[in-house]
Amino acid sequence: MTLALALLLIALGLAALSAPDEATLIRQLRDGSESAFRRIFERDAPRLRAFVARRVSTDPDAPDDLVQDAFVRLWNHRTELDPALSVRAYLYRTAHNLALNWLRDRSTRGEVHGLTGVEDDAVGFESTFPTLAADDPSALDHAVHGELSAALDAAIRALPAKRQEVFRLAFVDGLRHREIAEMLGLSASTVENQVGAALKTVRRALARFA
Amino acid sequence: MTIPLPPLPAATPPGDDELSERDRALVRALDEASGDTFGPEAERWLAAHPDDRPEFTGALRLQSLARDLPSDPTGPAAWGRLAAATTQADAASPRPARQPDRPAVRQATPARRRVSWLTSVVAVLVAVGLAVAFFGTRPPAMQLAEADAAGGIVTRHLSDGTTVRLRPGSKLTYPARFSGDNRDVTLDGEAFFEVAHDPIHPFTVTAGPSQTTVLGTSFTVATWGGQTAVELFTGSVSLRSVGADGQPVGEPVTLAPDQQSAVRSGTPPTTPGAGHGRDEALDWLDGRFVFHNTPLADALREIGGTFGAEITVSDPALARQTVSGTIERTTARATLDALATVLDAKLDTLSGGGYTLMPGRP
Repeated sequence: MTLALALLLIALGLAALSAPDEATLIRQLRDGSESAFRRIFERDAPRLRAFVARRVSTDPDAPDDLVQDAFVRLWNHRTELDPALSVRAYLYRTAHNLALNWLRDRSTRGEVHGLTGVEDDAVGFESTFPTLAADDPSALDHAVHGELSAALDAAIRALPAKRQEVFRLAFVDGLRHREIAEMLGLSASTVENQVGAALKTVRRALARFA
Repeated sequence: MTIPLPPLPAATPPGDDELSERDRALVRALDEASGDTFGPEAERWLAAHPDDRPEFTGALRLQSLARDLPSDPTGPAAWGRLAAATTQADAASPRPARQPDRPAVRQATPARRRVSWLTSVVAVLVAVGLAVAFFGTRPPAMQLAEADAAGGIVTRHLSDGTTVRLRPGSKLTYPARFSGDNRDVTLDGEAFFEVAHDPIHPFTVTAGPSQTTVLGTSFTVATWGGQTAVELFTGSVSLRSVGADGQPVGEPVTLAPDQQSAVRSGTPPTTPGAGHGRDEALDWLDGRFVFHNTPLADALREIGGTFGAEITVSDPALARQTVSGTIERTTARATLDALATVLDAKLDTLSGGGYTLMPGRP
């Protein structure tokens, strides 16, 4: 009796501890689980918003709208999701395309010039992210997180735009290299090179913490 | 916070783009890692190069730290705005007018919104009054509210900020306050929905045999004469047919803007096709009936529903005719007179106040 109770408690404890893995989450989402959808939303929406905001900075409402649209698409296409791929990659790719469309719509109205799309060269790439890296690090609340976090954040912001974007997607947002390569139309080795180079720069900037 | 970082490798020249074999292994190790654990590739490398472990581990800790960085340079306020945008009425708290070059998504024009905002105040007051009248004496366990557009168009703002305009003769049942994971309402008749964005709380309209699920969009649901037609204007909706047993019938369909699909009891939704367009689908908002090859029986149900009048057709052949065209909505009598003229039919008033259509000129 007590043994059974103890086992039950252990089982409950284990269930509470183990967050569902990506494949489970995708399976639940495919089955129409709203709680899985909510979990994904809460997990990915803030970073996805930052990702979109780095692309469409001229309209303060655009990132919210585009993130909403990306999630609406995820929900509507949930049954077509491939459990072997990450939901995050789907969301980022969708949001990336939505942002490009948004920018293209604007540029055809003559508001954004020089948009050449994402190509495997720094010039084309950077023109897609006109305001990247221009953020003021003081906007960040240094007091909230530790000194190392603040320095890490500042070091990432100091990276050149293209490298920063690729590095953020891999190192901060947690996308796989092949997902980034596919989304941005880069080769896998370019992604690795960019991440590797950025990592060196960042660690050099953090040398004083060593 | 102190996370011991191992000493940096001997200064690598910043001819950056070519990675050494070890750097490449490190980058791949970080890519492959799950949380704080390296994957098998990395462990193989580290087994062969045990001296690299401190550096690899340090880099992985740094990556974990990076994943906890605040996500938005503008801070949590921006996230708050997003969360608010997903749960709040854009109609209840009018946002600043959109820039004119924005695609007109999801919202009525500013002018219409101002008007609807005023009417919403009235509607909310009426709703509160009705709610007090209906539910004042009941325990607050199941607060279902009902909007009944008996006399004219009724606009309701639901607790999530969704705006619903009910066509005359239509009825909407909805929770006074949404709670839980879903926003569920039930419609009898026809209504134009502008659903507040809230991806984590899907909004579902049950109307006859159909269920329409959306996350934030504008569309109409019309259920007249045993058929439910859904036409989408902005966003995306998924429509499914639900059998008497509550089980889905066939596969649900997803509508793109300006598409429509229909559900009849026991049949799957029709393949999405071009809709009537906003003007025609929302004719009733302008006080008109617009029909497109509508079976007379369905048209009469719609007219009868609008005016609360009983209308019968004496002749089966006449009932099978279809009607197309626009009729001003004035009175039941005038509408039916116009219809009778088009159909070469005769209109009779029944003693109980109803009407009947029969073959033959008046």
